[in-house]
Amino acid sequence: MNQWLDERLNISRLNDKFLRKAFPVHHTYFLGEITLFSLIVLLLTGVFLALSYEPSTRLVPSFLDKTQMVPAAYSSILRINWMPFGDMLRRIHHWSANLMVAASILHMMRIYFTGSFKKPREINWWIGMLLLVFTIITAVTGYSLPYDNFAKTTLGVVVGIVQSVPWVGDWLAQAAFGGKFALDNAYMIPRVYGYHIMLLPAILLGLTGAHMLIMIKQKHTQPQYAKRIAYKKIVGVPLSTQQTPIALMLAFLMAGIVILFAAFIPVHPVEVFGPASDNPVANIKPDWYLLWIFGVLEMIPASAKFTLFGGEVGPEFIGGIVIATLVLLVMLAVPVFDKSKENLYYSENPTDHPKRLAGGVAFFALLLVWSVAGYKNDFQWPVAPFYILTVVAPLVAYFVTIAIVRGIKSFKAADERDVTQAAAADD
Amino acid sequence: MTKYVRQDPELSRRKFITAAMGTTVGVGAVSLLSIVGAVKPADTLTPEKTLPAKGDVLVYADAAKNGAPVALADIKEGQVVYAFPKGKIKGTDVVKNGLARNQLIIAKFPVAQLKAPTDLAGTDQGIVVYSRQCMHLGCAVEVKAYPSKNLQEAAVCPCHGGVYDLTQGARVADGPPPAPLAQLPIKVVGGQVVVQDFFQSLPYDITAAEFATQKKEFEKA
Repeated sequence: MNQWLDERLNISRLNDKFLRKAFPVHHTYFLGEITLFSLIVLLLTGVFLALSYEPSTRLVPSFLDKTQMVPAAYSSILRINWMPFGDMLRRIHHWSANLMVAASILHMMRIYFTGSFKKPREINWWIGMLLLVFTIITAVTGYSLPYDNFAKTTLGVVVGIVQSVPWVGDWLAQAAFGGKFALDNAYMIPRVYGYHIMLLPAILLGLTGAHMLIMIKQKHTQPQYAKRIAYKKIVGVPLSTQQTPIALMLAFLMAGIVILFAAFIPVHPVEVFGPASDNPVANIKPDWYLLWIFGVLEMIPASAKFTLFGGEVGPEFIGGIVIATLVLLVMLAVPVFDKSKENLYYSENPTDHPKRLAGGVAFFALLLVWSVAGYKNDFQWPVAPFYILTVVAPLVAYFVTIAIVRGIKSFKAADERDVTQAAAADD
Repeated sequence: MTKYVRQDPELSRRKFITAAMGTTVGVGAVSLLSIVGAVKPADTLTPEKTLPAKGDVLVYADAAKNGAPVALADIKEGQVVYAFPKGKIKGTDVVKNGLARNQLIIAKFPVAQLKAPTDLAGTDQGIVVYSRQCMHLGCAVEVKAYPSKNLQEAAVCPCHGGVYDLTQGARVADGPPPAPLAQLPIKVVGGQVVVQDFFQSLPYDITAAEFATQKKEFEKA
């Protein structure tokens, strides 16, 4: 059969080009795979959810209480919850989304701290950035769909942020969400549904394909141990067949953990929030990966507004779009700062590049401060300490990291001296 | 340098293809414009989405109370009532609950506590009314104590922590909102809270032009 297929499809070439792709064996190299498996789980569970979901804001008698009129989208979620394993399916979908964002961030951290974004892999860093952004947009559109009060409030804030763009914001928001934001806007949920199940997954799949083709073309950076085993040779296990069982085990383990989480920890319990209404949701917070933008929105003061050529620039635009864009630009610019002419072959030891390491730690310290600022309102904290921390925390993180790296270096040097002295004493 | 410029026969072909591609892209772009025009549905203003206007009676927002006018006895100091305006549009009574900005906070304070920039002429017996929709990103605000700013009763937004001082024209006491909550002037007439005028400032999600158009519509009717 192999021969039959080979004569028609030239599969031996496929085998040489793709299936023999060597995967370095190191645990941090599994993070990208986990992201991919989460995407697959999301696509599969998403298809099932889409079969039972009704994207509509039309009022219908509630699935659970026929006397109450609720949006059809909300009622269909109640029905999904009631179906055998329906609630479980929703939870797996939601947990996988969280895992996908988490794994992609960790994957990116590995790439950043080991310098794997350097020439020739800059393009894949940028594609990865786009993947992260679109994953987050997909997640947000996803948790807007149940059209419970939490989803409605989220959607209202998203629409408000789009609207806050100077000059074109009103038009942009109305074009994207089908008119002005209102509970009974009939276009809004179908639009978000279309984005969530067609447009955004298509973008994600396209980008993922490009990401992996480029990765196969350029090959993984090799872990440090490969240098000792065989210098400038590719060390790893081929996709077919040795890497495949490893990947499968990883996929099943991941799926198992997600299912355990889904079984015991509920996510987005729509009945707690109730159907979409114009009433507030107490202590509302976005999902964790957006908490930093939420914190920034709380921190930008009311006075941060001005008019520029007839366009209104307000605190919601500065907090929701300008700062977030700046953060993304810094991340996009990471490979630009690197001036090396040589192609990178081996993943670098983070402590060999203390400035890069410290810069990364400072960046996460900043995001952490902003995320904590998201809780400012719950504890009625004043805003001033967060402004100070915005400057101080990254600086402290930077210099502490540098100091720790120096400490490690001097310990290592002392160790080596001891070893050589001991060796000399033995002679 | 050669004296004669060689006539490259390929050049005209390249020019032709460039022109043909340009035309295709141009026509394609123009045809796309129709889609861009269609993605934004026309704005339709249903009666329940119109602004509160003079003569509207405030009714309970609580669906269980079935649109009954807010009783004065329920409006006490230290306790707020949420309400919608109910008025006649083209001869029929309409509860204007179609948009979040029309949900109103009815609060009562000792008369001496109400200070400028509150529109004092628009208050009655210490009763003051504001839109419930936060000016930052449009979440509904909650009324509660905010001790860190010494406010007994403040409107606090659960979304991004906007805090409004209800005794001083809902000025922004803390957080990011770019403007105070819009005050709605009222008067107590025959045991009911009756709207006296339009919002004193722009509420959330309405441009000055739209506000002016709606005002004109009401004045015509």
